Amino acid sequence: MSLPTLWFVILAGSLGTFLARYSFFWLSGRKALPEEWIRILRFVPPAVLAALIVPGVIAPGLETENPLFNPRIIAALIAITIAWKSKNVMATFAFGMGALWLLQYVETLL
Amino acid sequence: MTTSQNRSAFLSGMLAMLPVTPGIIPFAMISGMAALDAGMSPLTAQLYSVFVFAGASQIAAAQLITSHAEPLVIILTIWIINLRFVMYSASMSSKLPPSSIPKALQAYVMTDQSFAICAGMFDQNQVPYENRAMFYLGSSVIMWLIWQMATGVGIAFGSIIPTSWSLDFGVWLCFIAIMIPGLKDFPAIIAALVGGSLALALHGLPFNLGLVIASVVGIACGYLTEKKLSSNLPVKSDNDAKERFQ
Repeated sequence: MSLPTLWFVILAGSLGTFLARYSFFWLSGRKALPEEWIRILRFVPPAVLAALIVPGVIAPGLETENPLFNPRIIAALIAITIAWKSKNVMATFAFGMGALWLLQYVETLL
Repeated sequence: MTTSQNRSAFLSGMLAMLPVTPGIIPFAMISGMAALDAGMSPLTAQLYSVFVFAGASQIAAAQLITSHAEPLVIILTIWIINLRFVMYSASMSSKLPPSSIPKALQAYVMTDQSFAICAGMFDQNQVPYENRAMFYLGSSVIMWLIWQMATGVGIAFGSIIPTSWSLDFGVWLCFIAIMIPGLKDFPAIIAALVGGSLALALHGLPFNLGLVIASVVGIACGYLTEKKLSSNLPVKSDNDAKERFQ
Protein backbone atom coordinates (compact mmCIF):
# COMPACT_ATOMS: atom_id res chain seq x y z
CA MET A 1 0.00 0.00 0.00
CA SER A 2 1.41 3.39 -0.97
CA LEU A 3 2.10 5.91 1.76
CA PRO A 4 -0.65 8.40 0.72
CA THR A 5 -3.21 5.56 0.57
CA LEU A 6 -2.07 4.26 3.94
CA TRP A 7 -2.51 7.68 5.52
CA PHE A 8 -5.87 8.10 3.82
CA VAL A 9 -6.98 4.82 5.44
CA ILE A 10 -5.58 5.83 8.85
CA LEU A 11 -7.16 9.29 8.81
CA ALA A 12 -10.54 8.17 7.47
CA GLY A 13 -10.62 5.26 9.93
CA SER A 14 -9.68 7.57 12.81
CA LEU A 15 -12.24 10.19 11.85
CA GLY A 16 -15.08 7.67 11.76
CA THR A 17 -13.95 6.20 15.07
CA PHE A 18 -13.76 9.63 16.69
CA LEU A 19 -17.19 10.63 15.37
CA ALA A 20 -18.68 7.42 16.83
CA ARG A 21 -17.17 8.31 20.22
CA TYR A 22 -18.09 11.98 19.97
CA SER A 23 -21.64 11.52 18.63
CA PHE A 24 -23.60 11.81 21.84
CA PHE A 25 -21.11 14.01 23.67
CA TRP A 26 -21.82 16.45 20.87
CA LEU A 27 -25.57 16.02 21.15
CA SER A 28 -25.02 16.11 24.95
CA GLY A 29 -28.45 15.51 26.31
CA ARG A 30 -30.20 17.33 23.50
CA LYS A 31 -31.32 14.03 22.13
CA ALA A 32 -31.46 10.51 23.50
CA LEU A 33 -30.38 7.61 21.35
CA PRO A 34 -33.60 5.96 20.16
CA GLU A 35 -34.16 2.73 22.09
CA GLU A 36 -34.39 0.84 18.83
CA TRP A 37 -30.83 1.91 17.93
CA ILE A 38 -29.46 0.78 21.28
CA ARG A 39 -31.04 -2.60 20.66
CA ILE A 40 -29.39 -2.86 17.26
CA LEU A 41 -25.98 -1.58 18.37
CA ARG A 42 -25.69 -4.09 21.15
CA PHE A 43 -25.26 -6.80 18.51
CA VAL A 44 -22.35 -5.05 16.82
CA PRO A 45 -19.58 -6.49 19.04
CA PRO A 46 -20.67 -10.17 18.92
CA ALA A 47 -21.44 -10.18 15.19
CA VAL A 48 -18.34 -8.28 14.06
CA LEU A 49 -15.88 -9.98 16.39
CA ALA A 50 -17.17 -13.45 15.49
CA ALA A 51 -16.95 -12.52 11.80
CA LEU A 52 -13.27 -11.67 12.38
CA ILE A 53 -12.41 -14.63 14.62
CA VAL A 54 -13.99 -17.60 12.84
CA PRO A 55 -12.38 -17.17 9.39
CA GLY A 56 -9.18 -15.91 11.04
CA VAL A 57 -8.74 -19.11 13.00
CA ILE A 58 -10.15 -21.63 10.52
CA ALA A 59 -9.48 -20.35 7.00
CA PRO A 60 -5.63 -20.49 6.95
CA GLY A 61 -5.64 -24.22 7.78
CA LEU A 62 -8.41 -25.27 5.39
CA GLU A 63 -6.18 -26.34 2.50
CA THR A 64 -2.86 -27.13 4.09
CA GLU A 65 -3.25 -28.75 7.46
CA ASN A 66 -4.53 -32.06 8.71
CA PRO A 67 -8.30 -31.43 8.93
CA LEU A 68 -8.62 -33.72 11.96
CA PHE A 69 -5.87 -32.12 14.00
CA ASN A 70 -5.64 -28.36 13.66
CA PRO A 71 -3.84 -26.89 16.71
CA ARG A 72 -5.23 -23.39 16.09
CA ILE A 73 -8.86 -24.50 16.05
CA ILE A 74 -8.46 -26.66 19.17
CA ALA A 75 -6.56 -23.92 21.03
CA ALA A 76 -9.25 -21.39 20.05
CA LEU A 77 -11.97 -23.69 21.43
CA ILE A 78 -10.02 -24.03 24.68
CA ALA A 79 -9.65 -20.24 24.85
CA ILE A 80 -13.38 -19.79 24.26
CA THR A 81 -14.11 -22.14 27.15
CA ILE A 82 -11.70 -20.28 29.44
CA ALA A 83 -13.11 -16.90 28.40
CA TRP A 84 -16.64 -18.17 29.02
CA LYS A 85 -15.80 -19.46 32.52
CA SER A 86 -13.32 -16.84 33.74
CA LYS A 87 -14.22 -13.66 31.78
CA ASN A 88 -10.55 -12.85 32.30
CA VAL A 89 -8.43 -11.51 29.43
CA MET A 90 -5.10 -12.65 30.88
CA ALA A 91 -6.32 -16.19 31.63
CA THR A 92 -7.78 -16.51 28.14
CA PHE A 93 -4.50 -15.35 26.65
CA ALA A 94 -2.32 -17.59 28.80
CA PHE A 95 -4.36 -20.78 28.33
CA GLY A 96 -4.91 -20.11 24.62
CA MET A 97 -1.20 -19.61 23.86
CA GLY A 98 -0.20 -22.48 26.17
CA ALA A 99 -2.64 -24.82 24.44
CA LEU A 100 -1.41 -23.78 20.99
CA TRP A 101 2.25 -24.39 21.89
CA LEU A 102 1.46 -27.76 23.42
CA LEU A 103 -0.66 -28.84 20.45
CA GLN A 104 1.95 -27.67 17.95
CA TYR A 105 4.51 -29.75 19.82
CA VAL A 106 2.17 -32.76 19.76
CA GLU A 107 1.69 -32.22 16.02
CA THR A 108 5.42 -32.63 15.41
CA LEU A 109 5.25 -36.01 17.12
CA LEU A 110 2.34 -37.28 14.99
CA MET B 1 -14.41 21.58 43.01
CA THR B 2 -11.01 22.05 44.59
CA THR B 3 -7.77 21.08 42.89
CA SER B 4 -7.10 18.38 45.45
CA GLN B 5 -10.58 16.97 44.98
CA ASN B 6 -9.98 16.91 41.22
CA ARG B 7 -6.63 15.23 41.69
CA SER B 8 -7.93 12.55 43.99
CA ALA B 9 -10.88 11.83 41.66
CA PHE B 10 -8.43 11.53 38.73
CA LEU B 11 -6.19 9.16 40.73
CA SER B 12 -9.15 7.06 41.89
CA GLY B 13 -10.16 6.70 38.26
CA MET B 14 -6.66 5.49 37.37
CA LEU B 15 -6.64 3.00 40.25
CA ALA B 16 -10.06 1.63 39.30
CA MET B 17 -8.56 0.41 36.02
CA LEU B 18 -5.79 -1.67 37.62
CA PRO B 19 -7.65 -5.00 37.33
CA VAL B 20 -8.10 -4.70 33.55
CA THR B 21 -4.80 -3.12 32.53
CA PRO B 22 -2.74 -6.38 32.46
CA GLY B 23 -5.09 -7.71 29.81
CA ILE B 24 -4.50 -4.88 27.38
CA ILE B 25 -0.71 -5.17 27.38
CA PRO B 26 -0.39 -8.24 25.11
CA PHE B 27 -3.28 -6.88 23.07
CA ALA B 28 -1.48 -3.55 22.51
CA MET B 29 1.85 -5.24 21.77
CA ILE B 30 0.21 -7.40 19.13
CA SER B 31 -1.47 -4.37 17.59
CA GLY B 32 1.96 -2.70 17.31
CA MET B 33 3.45 -5.82 15.73
CA ALA B 34 0.49 -6.15 13.33
CA ALA B 35 1.00 -2.56 12.17
CA LEU B 36 4.66 -3.31 11.36
CA ASP B 37 3.64 -6.47 9.51
CA ALA B 38 1.32 -4.28 7.43
CA GLY B 39 4.39 -2.41 6.23
CA MET B 40 4.12 0.69 8.42
CA SER B 41 7.26 2.38 9.66
CA PRO B 42 7.69 2.33 13.45
CA LEU B 43 6.67 5.99 13.65
CA THR B 44 3.61 5.50 11.46
CA ALA B 45 2.65 2.43 13.49
CA GLN B 46 2.74 4.44 16.72
CA LEU B 47 0.82 7.35 15.18
CA TYR B 48 -1.74 4.89 13.83
CA SER B 49 -2.27 3.71 17.40
CA VAL B 50 -2.61 7.30 18.66
CA PHE B 51 -5.02 8.33 15.89
CA VAL B 52 -7.36 5.34 15.93
CA PHE B 53 -6.89 4.26 19.56
CA ALA B 54 -9.22 1.27 19.24
CA GLY B 55 -7.38 -2.04 19.44
CA ALA B 56 -9.68 -4.50 17.70
CA SER B 57 -10.05 -2.22 14.69
CA GLN B 58 -6.32 -1.42 14.62
CA ILE B 59 -5.42 -5.10 14.40
CA ALA B 60 -8.17 -5.99 11.94
CA ALA B 61 -7.26 -3.10 9.63
CA ALA B 62 -3.54 -3.92 9.84
CA GLN B 63 -4.29 -7.49 8.81
CA LEU B 64 -6.43 -6.30 5.90
CA ILE B 65 -3.57 -4.03 4.77
CA THR B 66 -1.21 -7.03 4.98
CA SER B 67 -3.56 -9.06 2.77
CA HIS B 68 -3.83 -6.20 0.24
CA ALA B 69 -7.52 -5.49 0.77
CA GLU B 70 -9.14 -2.50 -0.92
CA PRO B 71 -8.63 0.75 1.06
CA LEU B 72 -12.37 1.45 1.18
CA VAL B 73 -13.05 -2.01 2.61
CA ILE B 74 -10.42 -1.40 5.28
CA ILE B 75 -11.97 1.95 6.23
CA LEU B 76 -15.44 0.40 6.32
CA THR B 77 -14.14 -2.40 8.55
CA ILE B 78 -12.69 0.11 11.04
CA TRP B 79 -15.99 1.97 11.10
CA ILE B 80 -18.10 -1.15 11.60
CA ILE B 81 -15.93 -2.47 14.43
CA ASN B 82 -16.05 0.90 16.18
CA LEU B 83 -19.75 1.55 15.71
CA ARG B 84 -20.21 0.25 19.26
CA PHE B 85 -18.74 3.53 20.55
CA VAL B 86 -21.98 5.28 19.53
CA MET B 87 -23.68 3.14 22.15
CA TYR B 88 -21.05 3.95 24.79
CA SER B 89 -21.14 7.64 23.82
CA ALA B 90 -24.89 7.82 24.36
CA SER B 91 -24.57 6.20 27.75
CA MET B 92 -21.45 7.94 29.10
CA SER B 93 -22.42 11.45 27.97
CA SER B 94 -25.61 11.13 30.01
CA LYS B 95 -23.73 10.01 33.14
CA LEU B 96 -21.05 12.73 33.28
CA PRO B 97 -21.66 16.07 35.00
CA PRO B 98 -20.92 19.32 33.13
CA SER B 99 -17.21 20.10 33.46
CA SER B 100 -14.40 22.16 32.00
CA ILE B 101 -12.93 19.07 30.32
CA PRO B 102 -13.47 19.37 26.54
CA LYS B 103 -16.11 16.97 25.30
CA ALA B 104 -13.89 16.05 22.36
CA LEU B 105 -11.24 14.83 24.84
CA GLN B 106 -13.80 12.86 26.85
CA ALA B 107 -14.90 11.24 23.60
CA TYR B 108 -11.41 10.53 22.20
CA VAL B 109 -10.13 8.66 25.28
CA MET B 110 -13.16 6.41 25.63
CA THR B 111 -12.41 2.66 25.59
CA ASP B 112 -14.43 -0.50 26.15
CA GLN B 113 -12.69 -0.97 29.48
CA SER B 114 -12.97 2.56 30.90
CA PHE B 115 -16.58 2.75 29.79
CA ALA B 116 -17.38 -0.60 31.38
CA ILE B 117 -15.71 0.16 34.72
CA CYS B 118 -16.95 3.76 35.00
CA ALA B 119 -20.53 3.06 33.93
CA GLY B 120 -20.67 0.22 36.47
CA MET B 121 -19.31 2.32 39.34
CA PHE B 122 -21.41 5.38 38.46
CA ASP B 123 -24.61 3.34 38.38
CA GLN B 124 -23.85 1.91 41.80
CA ASN B 125 -23.15 5.41 43.12
CA GLN B 126 -19.58 4.51 44.07
CA VAL B 127 -18.34 7.85 42.75
CA PRO B 128 -19.90 11.18 43.85
CA TYR B 129 -21.64 12.90 40.94
CA GLU B 130 -19.42 15.98 40.93
CA ASN B 131 -16.23 13.84 40.83
CA ARG B 132 -17.27 11.74 37.86
CA ALA B 133 -15.77 13.80 35.06
CA MET B 134 -12.28 13.66 36.61
CA PHE B 135 -12.70 10.01 37.62
CA TYR B 136 -13.65 9.09 34.05
CA LEU B 137 -10.75 11.14 32.67
CA GLY B 138 -8.27 9.42 35.01
CA SER B 139 -9.52 5.95 34.10
CA SER B 140 -9.37 6.70 30.39
CA VAL B 141 -5.99 8.44 30.48
CA ILE B 142 -4.29 5.51 32.24
CA MET B 143 -5.72 3.21 29.57
CA TRP B 144 -4.37 5.52 26.88
CA LEU B 145 -0.90 5.66 28.43
CA ILE B 146 -0.59 1.89 28.93
CA TRP B 147 -2.00 1.22 25.48
CA GLN B 148 0.46 3.55 23.75
CA MET B 149 3.47 2.36 25.75
CA ALA B 150 2.68 -1.32 25.18
CA THR B 151 2.11 -0.62 21.48
CA GLY B 152 5.55 0.98 21.44
CA VAL B 153 7.08 -2.09 23.10
CA GLY B 154 5.42 -4.29 20.46
CA ILE B 155 6.79 -2.06 17.70
CA ALA B 156 10.29 -2.01 19.19
CA PHE B 157 10.67 -5.65 20.15
CA GLY B 158 8.02 -7.49 18.16
CA SER B 159 10.41 -8.30 15.32
CA ILE B 160 12.85 -10.19 17.56
CA ILE B 161 10.14 -12.65 18.64
CA PRO B 162 10.52 -15.79 16.47
CA THR B 163 7.54 -16.72 14.29
CA SER B 164 7.63 -20.24 15.77
CA TRP B 165 6.09 -18.71 18.91
CA SER B 166 2.94 -18.11 16.82
CA LEU B 167 2.26 -14.86 18.66
CA ASP B 168 0.01 -13.82 15.77
CA PHE B 169 -2.49 -16.25 17.28
CA GLY B 170 -2.74 -13.80 20.19
CA VAL B 171 -4.84 -11.54 17.96
CA TRP B 172 -7.64 -14.09 17.90
CA LEU B 173 -7.26 -14.73 21.62
CA CYS B 174 -7.67 -11.01 22.27
CA PHE B 175 -10.82 -10.91 20.19
CA ILE B 176 -12.14 -14.06 21.91
CA ALA B 177 -11.45 -12.52 25.33
CA ILE B 178 -13.40 -9.41 24.34
CA MET B 179 -16.30 -11.16 22.63
CA ILE B 180 -17.14 -14.22 24.73
CA PRO B 181 -18.05 -12.52 28.05
CA GLY B 182 -20.52 -10.37 26.08
CA LEU B 183 -22.48 -13.41 24.90
CA LYS B 184 -24.89 -13.38 27.77
CA ASP B 185 -28.19 -14.12 26.13
CA PHE B 186 -29.58 -16.08 23.23
CA PRO B 187 -29.91 -13.19 20.73
CA ALA B 188 -26.26 -12.18 21.28
CA ILE B 189 -25.16 -15.79 20.72
CA ILE B 190 -27.23 -15.91 17.52
CA ALA B 191 -25.55 -12.69 16.29
CA ALA B 192 -22.12 -14.27 16.92
CA LEU B 193 -22.96 -17.65 15.39
CA VAL B 194 -24.46 -16.12 12.25
CA GLY B 195 -21.70 -13.52 11.90
CA GLY B 196 -18.97 -16.11 12.41
CA SER B 197 -20.28 -18.87 10.18
CA LEU B 198 -21.33 -16.52 7.38
CA ALA B 199 -17.90 -14.85 7.46
CA LEU B 200 -16.27 -18.26 7.10
CA ALA B 201 -18.56 -19.24 4.23
CA LEU B 202 -17.90 -15.93 2.45
CA HIS B 203 -14.21 -15.53 3.28
CA GLY B 204 -13.26 -16.08 -0.36
CA LEU B 205 -15.29 -13.09 -1.57
CA PRO B 206 -13.24 -10.29 -3.12
CA PHE B 207 -12.47 -7.10 -1.18
CA ASN B 208 -13.13 -8.91 2.12
CA LEU B 209 -16.79 -8.19 1.55
CA GLY B 210 -17.52 -11.37 3.51
CA LEU B 211 -16.71 -9.57 6.77
CA VAL B 212 -19.04 -6.67 6.00
CA ILE B 213 -21.93 -8.85 4.84
CA ALA B 214 -21.52 -11.32 7.71
CA SER B 215 -21.41 -8.50 10.29
CA VAL B 216 -24.54 -6.81 8.99
CA VAL B 217 -26.49 -10.08 8.69
CA GLY B 218 -25.27 -11.17 12.16
CA ILE B 219 -26.41 -7.90 13.73
CA ALA B 220 -29.78 -8.17 11.97
CA CYS B 221 -30.28 -11.79 13.08
CA GLY B 222 -29.48 -10.94 16.71
CA TYR B 223 -31.89 -8.02 16.62
CA LEU B 224 -34.67 -10.00 14.95
CA THR B 225 -34.20 -12.89 17.39
CA GLU B 226 -34.58 -10.51 20.31
CA LYS B 227 -37.66 -8.96 18.74
CA LYS B 228 -39.20 -12.34 18.18
CA LEU B 229 -38.47 -13.56 21.71
CA SER B 230 -40.07 -10.57 23.37
CA SER B 231 -41.16 -7.11 22.36
CA ASN B 232 -40.74 -5.63 25.83
CA LEU B 233 -37.42 -6.90 27.11
CA PRO B 234 -35.48 -4.28 29.07
CA VAL B 235 -32.72 -2.57 27.11
CA LYS B 236 -29.45 -3.99 28.31
CA SER B 237 -26.75 -2.39 26.23
CA ASP B 238 -25.19 -0.84 29.33
CA ASN B 239 -25.03 -3.91 31.50
CA ASP B 240 -23.85 -5.87 28.57
CA ALA B 241 -20.68 -3.85 28.18
CA LYS B 242 -20.20 -3.25 31.88
CA GLU B 243 -20.17 -6.83 33.01
CA ARG B 244 -17.79 -7.80 30.29
CA PHE B 245 -14.74 -6.61 32.19
CA GLN B 246 -15.53 -7.57 35.76
